[in-house]
Amino acid sequence: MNDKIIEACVPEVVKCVHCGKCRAVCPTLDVLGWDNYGSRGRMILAGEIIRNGFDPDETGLNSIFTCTTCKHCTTVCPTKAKVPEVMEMTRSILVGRKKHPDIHRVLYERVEKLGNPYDEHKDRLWWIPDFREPEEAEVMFFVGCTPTYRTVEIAKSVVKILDGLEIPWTFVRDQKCCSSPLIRTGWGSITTDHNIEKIIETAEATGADTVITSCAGCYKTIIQDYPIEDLDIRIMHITQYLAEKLEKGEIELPQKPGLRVTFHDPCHLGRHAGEYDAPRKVIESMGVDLVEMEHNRQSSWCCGAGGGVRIAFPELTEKIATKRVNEARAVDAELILSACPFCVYNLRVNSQDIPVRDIVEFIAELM
Amino acid sequence: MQKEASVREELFQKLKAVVGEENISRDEAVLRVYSYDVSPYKGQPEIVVRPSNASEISEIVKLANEYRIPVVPRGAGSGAAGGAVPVSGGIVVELTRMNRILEIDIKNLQVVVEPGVVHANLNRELAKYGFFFPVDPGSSEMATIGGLISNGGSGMRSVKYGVTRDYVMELEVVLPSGKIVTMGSKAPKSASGYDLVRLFVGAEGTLGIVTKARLKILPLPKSRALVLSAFDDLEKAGKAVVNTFSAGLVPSGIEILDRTAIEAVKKYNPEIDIPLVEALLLFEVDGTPRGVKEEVETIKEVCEKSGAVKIDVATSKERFDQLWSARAMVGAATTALNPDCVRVYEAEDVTVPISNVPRMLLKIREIGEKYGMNIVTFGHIGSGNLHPALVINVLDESEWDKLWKISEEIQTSAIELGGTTTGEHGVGIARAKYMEREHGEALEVMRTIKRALDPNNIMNPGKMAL
Repeated sequence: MNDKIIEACVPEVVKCVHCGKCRAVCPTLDVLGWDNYGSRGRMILAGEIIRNGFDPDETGLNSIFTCTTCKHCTTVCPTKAKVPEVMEMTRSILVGRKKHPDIHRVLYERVEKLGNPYDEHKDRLWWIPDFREPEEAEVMFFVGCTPTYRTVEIAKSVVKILDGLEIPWTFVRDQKCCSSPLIRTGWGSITTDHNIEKIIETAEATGADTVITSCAGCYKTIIQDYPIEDLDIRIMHITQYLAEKLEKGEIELPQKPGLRVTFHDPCHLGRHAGEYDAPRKVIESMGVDLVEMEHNRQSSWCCGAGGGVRIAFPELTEKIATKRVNEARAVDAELILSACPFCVYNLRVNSQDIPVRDIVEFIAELM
Repeated sequence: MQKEASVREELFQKLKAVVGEENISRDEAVLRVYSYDVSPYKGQPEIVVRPSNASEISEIVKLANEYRIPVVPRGAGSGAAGGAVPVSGGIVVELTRMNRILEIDIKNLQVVVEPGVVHANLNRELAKYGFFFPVDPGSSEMATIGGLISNGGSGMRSVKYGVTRDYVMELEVVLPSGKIVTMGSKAPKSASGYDLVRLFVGAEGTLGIVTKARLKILPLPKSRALVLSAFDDLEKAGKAVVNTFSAGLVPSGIEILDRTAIEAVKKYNPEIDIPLVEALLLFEVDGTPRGVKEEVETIKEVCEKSGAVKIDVATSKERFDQLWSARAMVGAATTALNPDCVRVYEAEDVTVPISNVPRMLLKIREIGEKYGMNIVTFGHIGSGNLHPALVINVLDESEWDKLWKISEEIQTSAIELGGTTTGEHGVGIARAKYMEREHGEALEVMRTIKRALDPNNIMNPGKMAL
């Protein structure tokens, strides 16, 4: 297994010419200062591990596992070196050698056993006990683990919006974790096939042809890590779905004129999936005053939670998130919006004064 | 420089007392990362420290002297010559924590900075006042001012604005003895004493560590324009540059893309609208709107008379940005064109007298053909500085042999054409072997200075053939 990963990883590792252009954009280097905690340092270490037999010490492991996989480095990289992918591959190799943060193994075991990384035993539909699958549906809602167990208002908001807009919907049956936390941390994919089977099964049973999710992490994982090329089903982030409906003039969203809001681009929706416009279209359609933070769109500053960093290095995440919240403060935003439950959850606990909402919560609260 | 374990432990503990536990490391992962810069050279340090002020650096250097261990200053590690690579081991002193702009003195046209300030950050701050530090390296987003000073860096606008050397008024330096000295003057000019500032600019940390710099700044020009001239012959492009100067004009920058570079850019981004010819010249002029307009007209006339086949003036911001981005993306495009290959920074900074630029370009092409490598070349023709991009499959050992031969031939050709192996990147390890050829007896003068200031040879040893 490791040999195959190494074979795939080496050509990517050598693409990094160590120019250091990524120094300006790496959120962990910004906090920790040492070059080994930046993208260039990590690429050097990946090369040392894969090509030069380096058995990493604790600092080496921390360097590799503190990457949030935000992909900001790749966007400025002259050779477009795929740092997040190299980190995922290097982590896989290290996991194979049993060298990893212990808590990542715990995540893996929870997903294996319970289908979610949060150690939750509750049924996935605990928050909507009266749900009965309709005979026909237009969309299938892939809720994701964080809205199900940590930010349930986001899940409820999606349902409220779909009901309010009279869009016939159902859930993807018997969902499990999308595997994003496992893939990002080097623990590979285990639930991919299960979810694809369930998507197909739900589509066949209800006639729904679109999967929507409010989670940027689930969205990126399904479109980029799942083998879905032959699937005749659209996978959409909820903001893309709503933006499309708005463009067609099929829906109208509630208005909140005069409110000064800013939007935090989730790394997995923006840089990873290339979607910057849809959430902005949705926000702007609500009549608010949308102001951009210093870092936005392709140069959006990571919230610090991704890549397994939040659970393994919470203090680092807190510092990165605080910087992001300060950017919102600098533009006098009254509200921070985002489009990812994990970003929302993380920014919310690190924002003392400015409220943080997912776009779907913001819409639902006004409905 | 391997010391007995107990002695090394003693030194480590003393250094830790100086910089604090958070700012020192001898972890293997850290040492491996600090073994590299952009060059293909490698050398592992024994300790890395990240001091926050000159006093700490002074203590570090004194300890290094006591323990006879090398000290290698490092900024962002974005140098291309191995200057910050600790080839003899020792202590890497990373200066990025010293990143404060200490004083912006607009009325005296100067600014005081610590060495770890990133170039682009300085100019972003100065722009708020309508000023700028005119030296304009391609590595602006990562290069530190300390690195620019120590490598004698410059950039695309050196034709009119000169190089870093021309903007350093005063330096605070920790000498190899540990003594902190200030050299130069706050006055706009000074004829007093040896010009030590100029000695330390480009010294690559071999004579001491720069801990503070007073730099000249200038008001931002009110207007800028770009003239793109296409030529079907390299010689004609070269002559157009000479004729521009002869017409009494000094553009802020004159860049050249030869056919290989144009092809690379067009393949990399087909939306970039530039003609596929033998050579493209990009003239940038700046100043008052009226002056810029006049200079654009003169350049057009000169280029027409010099045989340009197409001339395009960019005044809109979109076109201006597109053309500069075409120039900026050449380096990246070289790798994109050869997906299995990676650019290796070797022979990447040759500089010749302006009139010899066309000959140097042809020579590079000839060398490329001889070894079967498509060498993309671009650079600052207005200052004679060319950046050939050598790309190889780094995983193939035989390609490395080829690379070293090409590198040798290109750099030797530059010297033969009356030039130098480095216009702005420095000597470091990469070009040390050419020092004697380039400087003859003057190298011995440099060695004498080095010995006088650093008798124990602790400051960045193994560099510049000192």
